[in-house]
Amino acid sequence: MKQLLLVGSPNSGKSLLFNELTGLNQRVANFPGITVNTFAGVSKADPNMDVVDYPGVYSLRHISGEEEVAVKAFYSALEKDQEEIAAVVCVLDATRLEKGLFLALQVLENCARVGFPVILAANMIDILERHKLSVDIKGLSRELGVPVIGVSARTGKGVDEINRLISGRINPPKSETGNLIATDGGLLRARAEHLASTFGPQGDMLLVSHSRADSLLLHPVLGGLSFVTIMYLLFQSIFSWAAPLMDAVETGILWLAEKVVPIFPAGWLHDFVADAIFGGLGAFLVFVPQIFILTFVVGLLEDSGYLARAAVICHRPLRMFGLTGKSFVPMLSGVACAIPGIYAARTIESKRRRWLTYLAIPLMPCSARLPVYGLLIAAFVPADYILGGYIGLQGLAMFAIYLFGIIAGLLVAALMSSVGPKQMEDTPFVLEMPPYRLPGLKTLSIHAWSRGGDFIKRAGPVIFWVSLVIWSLGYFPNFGENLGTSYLGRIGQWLEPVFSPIGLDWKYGVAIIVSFLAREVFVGTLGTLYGIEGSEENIVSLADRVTSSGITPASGLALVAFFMLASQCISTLATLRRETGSWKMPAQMFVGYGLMAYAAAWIIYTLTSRLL
Amino acid sequence: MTAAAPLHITSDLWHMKKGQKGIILGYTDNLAPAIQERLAELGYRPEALVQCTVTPRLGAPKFYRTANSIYSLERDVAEHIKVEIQLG
Repeated sequence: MKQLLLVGSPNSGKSLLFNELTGLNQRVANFPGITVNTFAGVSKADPNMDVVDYPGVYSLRHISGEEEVAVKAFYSALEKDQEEIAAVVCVLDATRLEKGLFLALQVLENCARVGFPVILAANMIDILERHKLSVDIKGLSRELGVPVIGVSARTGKGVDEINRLISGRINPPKSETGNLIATDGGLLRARAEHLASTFGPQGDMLLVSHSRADSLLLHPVLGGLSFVTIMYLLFQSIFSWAAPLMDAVETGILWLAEKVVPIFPAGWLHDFVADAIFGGLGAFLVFVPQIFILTFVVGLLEDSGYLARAAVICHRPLRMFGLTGKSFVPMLSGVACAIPGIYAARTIESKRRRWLTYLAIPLMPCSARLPVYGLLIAAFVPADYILGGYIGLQGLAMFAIYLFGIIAGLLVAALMSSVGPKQMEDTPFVLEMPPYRLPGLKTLSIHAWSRGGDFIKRAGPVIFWVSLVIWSLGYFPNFGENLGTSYLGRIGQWLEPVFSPIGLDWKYGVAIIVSFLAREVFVGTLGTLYGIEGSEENIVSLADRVTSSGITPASGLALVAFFMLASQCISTLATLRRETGSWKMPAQMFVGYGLMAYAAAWIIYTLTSRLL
Repeated sequence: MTAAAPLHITSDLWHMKKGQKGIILGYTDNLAPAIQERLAELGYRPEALVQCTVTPRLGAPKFYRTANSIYSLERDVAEHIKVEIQLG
């Protein structure tokens, strides 16, 4: 199978072009460095060709871990046979041609050396046209001796032309000055500047409106206020916007359960379907709309160009905790899921600040915690509104939980910054500011939908098997007659001394133990356990069962604190092991955060049970 | 007869005011060669025209434009880029 290699500088629109060429849904965002791994997909135009998307780099001389991955992968692709490579497409941002040409010249020289054909895709040509500007495509093509295509990855313009060229024969580029230009930075810069000034757009592309938006969003007072408001709306939306969807999913599941469960004759299969499938798996599915909304809103911020400004706003405050403004995006990604957050931390060139960011990310309130928080909030916080109905108490509680989670992450980073290793390499903060863009709602919706689907696919099977095991242990040997004397009841009672100091009975203890596989399993496990216990009752929401289980608000708070701090995600630890190259950090994190979580839960339970 | 005021002053990027333009003269020796190289690749190279576009308060990184790109540079790097600021 042939390969089409897609390279380009960060934020050149490479991933959007990849999506156009393959029909796939690779994550795109208006923030430099979103693609941190190579991705491959089959070309829409040629099923026998793979399109490979490389992370964006400014130069083939890497200075960060993120760039190293891309540069090494590109050089190893250059070692392939000529027959294997259909072409190398180098994507340039036509509005900032000089920056893209610097990389393009390096790519051209390297491809000339190995005889690979190259196409230059001058992307965002639609933006130039909107401002009545243009690139001299023919002149640039003639000068460099390679095809240059004006492309708009957003509208699909020029994509057919790329496919048409690839299906024919393209001559590889000729070396301009031997290998000199690829190795001499000065010559390369001079050449890129000359080409950009001769063939690039002759006008001012940085719009006045951008400066106006920056004046507001980076204003000393209004900027900070806008930031807090935007972040508050983000968390409020998780409850307010998701509530109708969650109600609809819950109603749907209950309706389905009432139709399906009676089909099975009374017996263990009937009880299994009611308790494990609808009680366990169903309880978890109710929270998927919140993950959809969270991903959508985070995507909205990424696509608009605001996140880069937010990184600037956060830089100084984050420096107080030993982090950098560049830690902001990995940490915010960690709010959706720690795994992309850990990958995104590659954009931090400073090894020391990357290490501190790794420490903070697992403490960010990720979406896997959302079902747990959602359940506990629904059980303990009334669904009332205050201040004229504008602020929901449940949304406010979620905001507070998220805020405390973030503060915990910052404090751990600050502590480790002061006591941790000092000899790690450090590099200063330099961040490209992308132009503001109107977010593509269709792309965002597709991404949020696929993220929700991924969440179900990843967690669903785990929850199913855990529910099956938990249900079997809880149902037998007395066929659901008495949960306390079941196998699970005996195991739980053996574990109870560990959890009784924080006011939790053995059922919560079992749910916590299994949640070390994945946090969201907690909700499914409780759903299964209460399903067995209350099998004679009508199916009611899990939150109602938690409320009537006798658990105190102090224990509820202790549970929140435990889930806020414990490192309970095997996938996150495995990702961290891959990124750091050893199990040392994940193992230390698992033990350290586990002990810290238990201690915090005990302290909170002890204090609040005296106060409440 | 009084001497005419100079039309430019030598300073560093960090001390440029919002809207001021200047020509980059070079870097101080305190800036690591790899960082100098990357800055040059991004367009912050000797003889390049640069403009300070946004100066957030409280020590936040400032925005500097070169060609059609804007980057945010923190003090630790901006004060090591020498610049001839154009006045008037």
